[in-house]
Amino acid sequence: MAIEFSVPAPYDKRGWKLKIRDKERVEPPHVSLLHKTRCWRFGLREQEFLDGDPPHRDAPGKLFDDLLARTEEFVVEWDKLYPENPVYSGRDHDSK
Amino acid sequence: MTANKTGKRAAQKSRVKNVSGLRAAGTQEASLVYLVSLSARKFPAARSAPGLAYRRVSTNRAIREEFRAAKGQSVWIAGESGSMAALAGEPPAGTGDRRLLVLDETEEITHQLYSAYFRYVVTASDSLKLLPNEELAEVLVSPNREELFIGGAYDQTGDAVLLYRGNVEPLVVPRAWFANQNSKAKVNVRALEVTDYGQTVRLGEFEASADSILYEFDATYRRSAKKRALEKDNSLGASIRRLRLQRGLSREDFDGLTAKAIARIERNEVSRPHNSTLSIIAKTLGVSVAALETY
Repeated sequence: MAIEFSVPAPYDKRGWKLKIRDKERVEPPHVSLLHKTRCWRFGLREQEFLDGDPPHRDAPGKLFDDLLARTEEFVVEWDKLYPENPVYSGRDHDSK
Repeated sequence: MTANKTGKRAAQKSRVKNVSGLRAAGTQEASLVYLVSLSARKFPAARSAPGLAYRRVSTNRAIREEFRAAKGQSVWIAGESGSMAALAGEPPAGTGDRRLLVLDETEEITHQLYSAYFRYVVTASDSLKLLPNEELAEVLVSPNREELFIGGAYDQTGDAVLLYRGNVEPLVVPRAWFANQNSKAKVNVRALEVTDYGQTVRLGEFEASADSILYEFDATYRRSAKKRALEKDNSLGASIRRLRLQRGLSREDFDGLTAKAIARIERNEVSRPHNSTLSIIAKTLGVSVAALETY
């Protein structure tokens, strides 16, 4: 079941969403911050946005701080959905 | 030519210039959205994008004139099934790449007629579930609309999900692809809907990101996504590793190759893997050798 995390006010009312869906591009592990037609992938290993577009500045700073503060919560859920590519497997330490 | 006609032509050119800034992502072609017989009330986002992304046409004459003038890629959205009947009698030939979305149920013969004029024709039906109008309008004028879905349907005969992108192009995804053995969500293709402004395909409880679908089924999208990624490890080894993980395979799953050999290739410690090695890897991953690097 897709996991939808809470989004801090007032962004929850403004249509911002935070998800890990049942089928994602699995590498690298990430949560998706969605707002209307745009998506920022937040890397759980890197703890930063993975893509150059959309611009990082367009995502509210408060939401980015929230992502950083709750990374461990996302890691737990990611690892449940994608145990074949756990967050802390690491590029060079992947035993698979 | 009379001064009046000259003035009208100049005005038309001016209008085109105003919208030429709207380009489909990844292309250099100007791309227009024509709204045919659609009110701002029925298509609400049009109010927030005045003139730039949308052009409203309503009279038969205007439809014909705009149709003839349309160059490059254009998406036509008609509110009613008969809206485009004004084209009957027009020569279908043209250089433009025109696509049509009809928000109303349309008879098969009318669909066939429209197919003579448009590269892709999508018409509403009981089986095709489109985004709500407000989200649909946003997606259709989004600069990344080809990376978003506007609706879809399940085809029982082919056991596949037919999705339509924001540029009205179809994409077929086998039902079997929608699976994650670690998820508790059941895949229910009959409950298919597109949500999150075209960023998510929902099949009952199961959700798939548009990104994962396009990354799997569209090589152009994959290349574009890799360009956008800040992590610029575009090596062959990194591509093989990404694809192996996407397939849920371990390094032990490559018959004829040891896990250690796969690990070395993924770390780019083998500068040029042998062709037979690449063939085994590609076969195991279900792609061609040439496609390996695109992942």
